Amino acid sequence: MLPLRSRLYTVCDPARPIPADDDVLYVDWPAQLLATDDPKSRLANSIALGAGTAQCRFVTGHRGVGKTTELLRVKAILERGDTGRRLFAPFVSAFQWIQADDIEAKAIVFVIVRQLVTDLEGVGIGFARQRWSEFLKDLWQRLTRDIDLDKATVEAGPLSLDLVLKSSAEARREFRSLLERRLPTLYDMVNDTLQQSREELRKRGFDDIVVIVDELDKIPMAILNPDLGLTNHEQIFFHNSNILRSLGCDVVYTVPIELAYSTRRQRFQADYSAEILTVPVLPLADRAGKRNDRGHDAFLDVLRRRVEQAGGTWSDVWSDELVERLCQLSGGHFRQLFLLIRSSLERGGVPITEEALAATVRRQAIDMTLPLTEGSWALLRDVHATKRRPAEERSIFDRMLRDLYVLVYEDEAGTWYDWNPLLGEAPGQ
Amino acid sequence: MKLPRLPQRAAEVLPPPDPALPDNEVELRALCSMLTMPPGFRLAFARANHPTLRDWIISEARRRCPRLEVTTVTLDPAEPAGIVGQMEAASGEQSPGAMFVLGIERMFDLHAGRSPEIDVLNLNRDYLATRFAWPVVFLLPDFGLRELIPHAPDLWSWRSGTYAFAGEVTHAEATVTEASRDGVWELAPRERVERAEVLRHVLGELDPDDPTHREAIARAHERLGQLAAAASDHAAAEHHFASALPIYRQIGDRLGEASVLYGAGQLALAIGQPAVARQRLLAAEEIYRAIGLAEWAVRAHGLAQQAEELLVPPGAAPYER
Repeated sequence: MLPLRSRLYTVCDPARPIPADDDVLYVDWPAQLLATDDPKSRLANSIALGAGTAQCRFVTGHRGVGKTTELLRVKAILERGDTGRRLFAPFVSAFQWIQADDIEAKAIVFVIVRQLVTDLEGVGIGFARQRWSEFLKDLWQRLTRDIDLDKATVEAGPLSLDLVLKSSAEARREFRSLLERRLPTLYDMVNDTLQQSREELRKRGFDDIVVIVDELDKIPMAILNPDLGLTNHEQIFFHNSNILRSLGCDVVYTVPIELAYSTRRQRFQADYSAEILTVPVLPLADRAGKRNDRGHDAFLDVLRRRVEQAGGTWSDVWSDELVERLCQLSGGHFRQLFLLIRSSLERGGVPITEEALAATVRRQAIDMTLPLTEGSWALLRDVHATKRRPAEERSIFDRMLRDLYVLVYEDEAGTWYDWNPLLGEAPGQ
Repeated sequence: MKLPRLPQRAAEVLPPPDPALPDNEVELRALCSMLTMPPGFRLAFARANHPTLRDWIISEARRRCPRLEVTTVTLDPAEPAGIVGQMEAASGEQSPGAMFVLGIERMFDLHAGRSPEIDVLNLNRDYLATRFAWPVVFLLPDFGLRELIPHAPDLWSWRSGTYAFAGEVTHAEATVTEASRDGVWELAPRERVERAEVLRHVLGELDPDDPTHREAIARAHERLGQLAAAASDHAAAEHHFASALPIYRQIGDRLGEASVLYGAGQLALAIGQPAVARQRLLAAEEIYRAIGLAEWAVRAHGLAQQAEELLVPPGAAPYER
């Protein structure tokens, strides 16, 4: 059997979302602490209540906060029919397919259709695959006619599409152009497929379809027009909203947090008639610093389950004082918590010592502050002091929010912000 | 005005690195601890500003983890396969115990401010975890990590650990020598920016109060002055030359002193200060002659004469460019 240190290291892996059927590690603190504001419930209920009307819905949250974990749970809720309607819910990891320079609304629709076809085939609905293959074959023929590819690749057919697009910028440009011209055909095909699929899915006990598109929150923000301040985020979610709304079924999209918490939020919600739901950071205190006991209890529950899963006892792993320190340093952000635990395990054994944690914190604090400028520090100190978003320096604040230097919280008075607690541990702070 | 190639020091064969400093030892133990955790993908970043230090880290990891098959890959920005493609090619059909990835800092185009390869890597982070079932350690200099954090935030957020290593003065000297290779005008703008970054971070590691560090500090400043001059950052160039000169004088390095005076003289000529230029270049000429570098003395003299011609004689009309 592996030593406890190794077992604990494995169960604290920050890279793995908890599967929807794992109730051992999973702590449903959003339901416990937020009750009716639990984003899972709100999303699932919203989809159930919107029966008959295809709508777009949006989810945001810091990276590493548990969005994918919560969305997988939403998928399970919908597929089980817990809301009273049972829904077929393909889950799309957008960047499994899209290249970085292809992040446009039409490419997103393309990957949605691709996943939908794959998942339908998985439940025995094969006609969609046939239609999709015909569509792809048509695209492939046009693509290979217009650009130079080696003979072997051409002969391999549309199955080579991913490989070709990955390796050739010219092919990607041509593909985007082709897709643009074929969009009406794609919409007709997919909506026709959806209509027919619904009939087949009803025979299998499903009431309808919803597609969940994850990872769009990772789209790096780029300024497309400095004079107008137009970003690619706005291009995708505002200017091409008709494309994102073109599917004849419910779709859930993740949204970059810096867009969701920008001054464009109201417009966003008005354009789509949909609220952006946030998967929050675990609230450990309110903006006045008053401890949230229920948040702390949930935090301890998360740790307790990990220790038990690793086959250890609480005192084998740490002291209560060390846990309190971890709680404070995590800021309620689980990926940051697991990073601190794993790094501390690397720097010492179990039980985790204060020295190992201190060395970890120092290293993390120094490294994360490498990119910060004087201007960034000034803004961060201001946010920490006021718990508010500054009136100016929008672009710096957006980056700080995106890159986890600023964390967003909610309390009874609304949204508030604070710097990442590791910043307070940087030398000189 | 192009700066001619300055005299280069002979490449030195370095002795094996000294035993690790206590903090390097702590970092290395933590790194090896991470490498020998249960099999599976994990991501780590190790900061080391010196190529010789990075080599030492890898060789020490191999020595301390003898059962671990360690593979390395050095990324080539010209390779069309991209970062992940090169990592895949390095592992082939094998499953190494760990992979060290060098050269990711070269995938950033600091000059253009864009890094499409890093964008792709960041967005395809999940693919790394499915494709590479072993620890992946990116070994990079400080400026590389500084650039990576905002450009690849999803990748960065997945880290299991980070480690930082400080070089000995021998590492710094080797890095400065490497960064001083080639005339500045032979370098692409991107390369100049990268080398300047490396040298700035090396300076940050060196202690001006330590006599054994002074030569490396002076050489770093001198090279930074040349790079700044090539980038038309005249104020920075002046600062670095002015920083290098007293150190060279303090340590009695006459070649260095002459070299800085020559570069500073060229700078003054380029920015329309012929009197200052002439003074510096004549001083350089004198030293070159004294140390037997006749060819450089002639060059310095030639430039000094150019400066002389630009000087406005008393009573004559003001010089206009």
